[in-house]
Amino acid sequence: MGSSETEIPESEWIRRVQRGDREAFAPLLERHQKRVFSLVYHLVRRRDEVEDIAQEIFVKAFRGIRSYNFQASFGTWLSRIAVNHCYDYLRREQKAKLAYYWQIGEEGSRAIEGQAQSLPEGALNLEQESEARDLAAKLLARAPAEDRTILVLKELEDRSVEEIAAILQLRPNTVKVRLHRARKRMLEDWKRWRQRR
Amino acid sequence: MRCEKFREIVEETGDRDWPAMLHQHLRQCAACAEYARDWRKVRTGLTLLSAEPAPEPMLGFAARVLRRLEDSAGFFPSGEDLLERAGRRMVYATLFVALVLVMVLVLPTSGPVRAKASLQLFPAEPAVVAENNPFLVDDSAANPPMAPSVPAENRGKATQ
Repeated sequence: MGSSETEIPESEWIRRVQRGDREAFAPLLERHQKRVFSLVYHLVRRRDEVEDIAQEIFVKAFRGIRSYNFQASFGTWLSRIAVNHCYDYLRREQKAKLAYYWQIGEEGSRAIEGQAQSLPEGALNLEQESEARDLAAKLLARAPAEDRTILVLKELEDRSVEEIAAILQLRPNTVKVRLHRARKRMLEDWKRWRQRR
Repeated sequence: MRCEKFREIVEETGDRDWPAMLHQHLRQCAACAEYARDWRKVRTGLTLLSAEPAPEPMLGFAARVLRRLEDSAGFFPSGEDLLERAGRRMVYATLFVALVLVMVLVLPTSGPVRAKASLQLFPAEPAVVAENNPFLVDDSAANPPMAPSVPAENRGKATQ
């Protein structure tokens, strides 16, 4: 991207694409691709799928750009498309899988439990960090798509409640309630399994 | 303090930011203490996960997306494309109408397709009409057909 291109405001590129200038989509892509990759990776957690999914998201964004009305920022609008796309992907993936922690097999459950029990209260060494990371990843992977989406946006993407509300088209208070429920459900599922053992 | 409220605050604040009443509730409620402990473990993992680097877009990603858009260019036509497409449709529509008109004009009114229809459209006049019509009465017996007229100057030659 040349220096003259960076001086043009984002809204101008968007308008050009809306008028049918396909090439004007390139600067928008360059500007937002890293964030889309991060969001997709955190939601889907499959490195080999990230590029394909990101491509599909940008194609969807291009197709729908005429409906973009500048009310939210382009980044938020794009995140909305990315979240919806990944949500559908997760729903498809999870149809064939067990959704909750307490439903997983004995071996997998024991591994998660072992990781959790070995986590100390204070600072962690490298091995403990790795265990903590695995525990969180496995619990997230087993959470329903709705819970996973909102937890990823808050805990991994570090988006504000207001931003999440704009992406998911919800009220901020609803986001807070759903976040609490998602966290609670995740911990309850984990606890339920422990009680079953 | 209610447990639900306690848990909401625990989720939103780090351990060190807890007000005194949270610590008090924690000492009194074993279930909330367990919840806080579990959440701390999970949150530690989530924080580490968020720090994990996501894959970077590989070189040429934007170009690949643009190529993909070009491959499926039909879905997002530019203004010129739209005009061209509309014009092409007009031409096709005109050609179709012209073809129908030509078929209507050129095709015979009889034939394997049209015969039946033409009979229904133009039924033969019933015989009754001929009988009652004085102009159509068959008078061939009363008035035999005249002999072919021969010019007067040629009559003699003809009889000779």
